[in-house]
Amino acid sequence: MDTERATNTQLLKGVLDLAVLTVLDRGPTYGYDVVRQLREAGLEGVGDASVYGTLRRLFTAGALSSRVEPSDEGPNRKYYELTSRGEDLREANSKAWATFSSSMDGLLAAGGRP
Amino acid sequence: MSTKTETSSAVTAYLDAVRLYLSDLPQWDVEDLMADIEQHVLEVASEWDGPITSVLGDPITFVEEYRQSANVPPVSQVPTTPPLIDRLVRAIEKARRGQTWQSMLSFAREARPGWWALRGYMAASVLLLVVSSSSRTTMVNPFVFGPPGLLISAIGVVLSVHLGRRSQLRSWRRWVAIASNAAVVAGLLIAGQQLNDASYYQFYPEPVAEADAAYEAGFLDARSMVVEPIPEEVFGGVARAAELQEAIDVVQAYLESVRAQNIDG
Repeated sequence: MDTERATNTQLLKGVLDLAVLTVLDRGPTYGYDVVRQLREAGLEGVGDASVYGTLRRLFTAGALSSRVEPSDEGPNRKYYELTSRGEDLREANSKAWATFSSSMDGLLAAGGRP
Repeated sequence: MSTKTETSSAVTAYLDAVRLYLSDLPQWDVEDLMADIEQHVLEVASEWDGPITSVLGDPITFVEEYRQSANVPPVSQVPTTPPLIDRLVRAIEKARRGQTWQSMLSFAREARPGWWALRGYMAASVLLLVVSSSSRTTMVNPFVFGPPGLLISAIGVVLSVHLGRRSQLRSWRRWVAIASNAAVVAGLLIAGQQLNDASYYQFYPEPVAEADAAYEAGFLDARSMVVEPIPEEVFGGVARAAELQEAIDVVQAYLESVRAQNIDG
């Protein structure tokens, strides 16, 4: 079980950018909600800190913009939103993933032995 | 179920630790991230009854994971000591490798027997001072005690040099030597201070006391004169002094001219 979890975490690292970009493509939201949406989508192995690291990196790259909004439940929330560069990046990553996953599926369908 | 106070103090501690592990990053960067994390930790704490670390991991693990995915160098590559102390330590390290330090070190090594002898002499002096409870200048001059003083000083020197030579053999003796050195120096300072205080009045008790009293009185007088307006007769005195100076100048000028004439003639 632990091995499966570790493998999930390893696989996630490569696609976390695309996962975060996709969640934000649904609409602007804040970090904690991104984590929640990823978990609900079944990506259990994603670490909270990794999501914030990814948000930070994407923000620095100009793929996201941020704004602070007051919250009824506590401190202000920082909302992230896709920029046009972010949308382009999501598009490109999505295509790359589609190609990659279909290649992977093909490989797995062919089986491990000749 | 934890109370609200416990939760908030746990949250504060967690956030403080996170901030510490980010402290090498630019201030705006840290604040930007802390805005995210503060909100996140509070949400986790409000939804979760157990310790925050069971959801988020240790603060350092959390920060390491963040830094890795944010493409920031890991904490382990960042000096954890404050920059000033770090620089100081490095400067000392550098100086220790330098020529000056090495020559100072070799000088200290060669001068060691001298220190051993001096240490023994001083230890004996301290001992004599304590035993005799005298405030005489035994520190400088153990001769005032006659042969016993000289003998004790000689024993002190021999013993100290002997200890010094043997202390090079084993490490625990080194610590004994360091401790005794420190004790001798401390004893010397204390004794020296007492000696200084005591001997001041010991040798000149009455005249010094009188002089002190007179000085004090004079000082107070002088101070009161400065504060109070200067009396008329002092002004008169000053005027008379000025007149006198003028007369002296006239006489001096006259003498000068006479001397000049003599030289010319």
